[in-house]
Amino acid sequence: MQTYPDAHIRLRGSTLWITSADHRGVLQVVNGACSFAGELQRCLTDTVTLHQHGKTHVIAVEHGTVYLNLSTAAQQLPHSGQQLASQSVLVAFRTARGTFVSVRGQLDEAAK
Amino acid sequence: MKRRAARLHAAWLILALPCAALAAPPNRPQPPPQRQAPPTRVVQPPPTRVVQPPPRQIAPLHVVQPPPARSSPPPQGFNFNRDINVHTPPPSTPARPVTQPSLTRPPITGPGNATGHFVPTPGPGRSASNFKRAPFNTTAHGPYQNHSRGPVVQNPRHWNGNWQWNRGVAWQPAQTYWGGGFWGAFALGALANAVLFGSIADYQDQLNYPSYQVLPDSPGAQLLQNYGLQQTPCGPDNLVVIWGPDNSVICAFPNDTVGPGNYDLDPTTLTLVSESP
Repeated sequence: MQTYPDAHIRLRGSTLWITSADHRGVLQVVNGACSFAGELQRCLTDTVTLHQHGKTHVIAVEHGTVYLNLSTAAQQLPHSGQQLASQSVLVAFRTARGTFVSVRGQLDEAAK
Repeated sequence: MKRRAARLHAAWLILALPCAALAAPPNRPQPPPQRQAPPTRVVQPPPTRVVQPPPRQIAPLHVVQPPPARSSPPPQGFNFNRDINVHTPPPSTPARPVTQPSLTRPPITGPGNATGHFVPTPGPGRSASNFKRAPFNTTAHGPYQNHSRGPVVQNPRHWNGNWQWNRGVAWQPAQTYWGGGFWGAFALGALANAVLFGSIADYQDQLNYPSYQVLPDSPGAQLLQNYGLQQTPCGPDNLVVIWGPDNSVICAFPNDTVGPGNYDLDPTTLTLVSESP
């Protein structure tokens, strides 16, 4: 298991841009089928692209879900005892090669 | 710069490489010590001391690396070495069986039926069991797209304006999911594990359109709830057949609001449009 703290999370439209703390890697997570579960926006992870070392790699994703809380209050996650803080994101996806990726944190930037 | 750094939050991105194949069961007897440690881990004991390895020494690959110190992040960005440069089948050709157990022709009676172009009656001795699975496409609707439209069956919920059912946010299909994700998170790559809920056979083009059970909390479930429809496996005649995004189809029992027949879905207003003029 590898952990990458202090990543920078930016939301543009329905796409999440996650930049590593050393600014060498950028993970682009394109979401689709966004609907609402209460105040939470729930999307499906559609495509994931890694921009790193001057190259672009498309990462085959099997399935994944993204929860966005763009409200001003913490929201309860569906089927969970946990809450998602305001202006925060929770991402979980599994690649076709079996790598599990989990991202949780507060949005550093959000723009439509 | 300090202000910017102060805004950064402890966002964690975790990559867990599957190592189940490398993990030994807890009850498995430990191999002899000389075979247990890889060459790079061998520590030469001092000549005067005999170092016995602990009896339950954990193999090096079992060691879970602690998260790196916050002051020293990984120097090379993200590690996706297992996933980059991997060629997988495109979403349009998911691996799944092409034969279905419950093939039948679509309903051919009722006010909402399609034109004869799509639903020719199967001839004697013709079987749909070998029909190919209908391809996924990126269009907003199924095979009835561009056909003449029939009357709109207004959503009883009476949503005002486009996408109001989705709080004003436009719903866009996710192309790696059956039905774009409208009926739930049915990943195309994992459809072989999903339970079929009937299917529709196109005898003219010899294509098969599988159907799956709508997941709760999905937009499709909201559609069914709004119209008071109850989903049922596709196959029998005289059902409500709803064609959704990307050649997806589900079926439901007719009710006082929606009669039997084929319907197209308008996701903008979450309404059904009959395919019969």
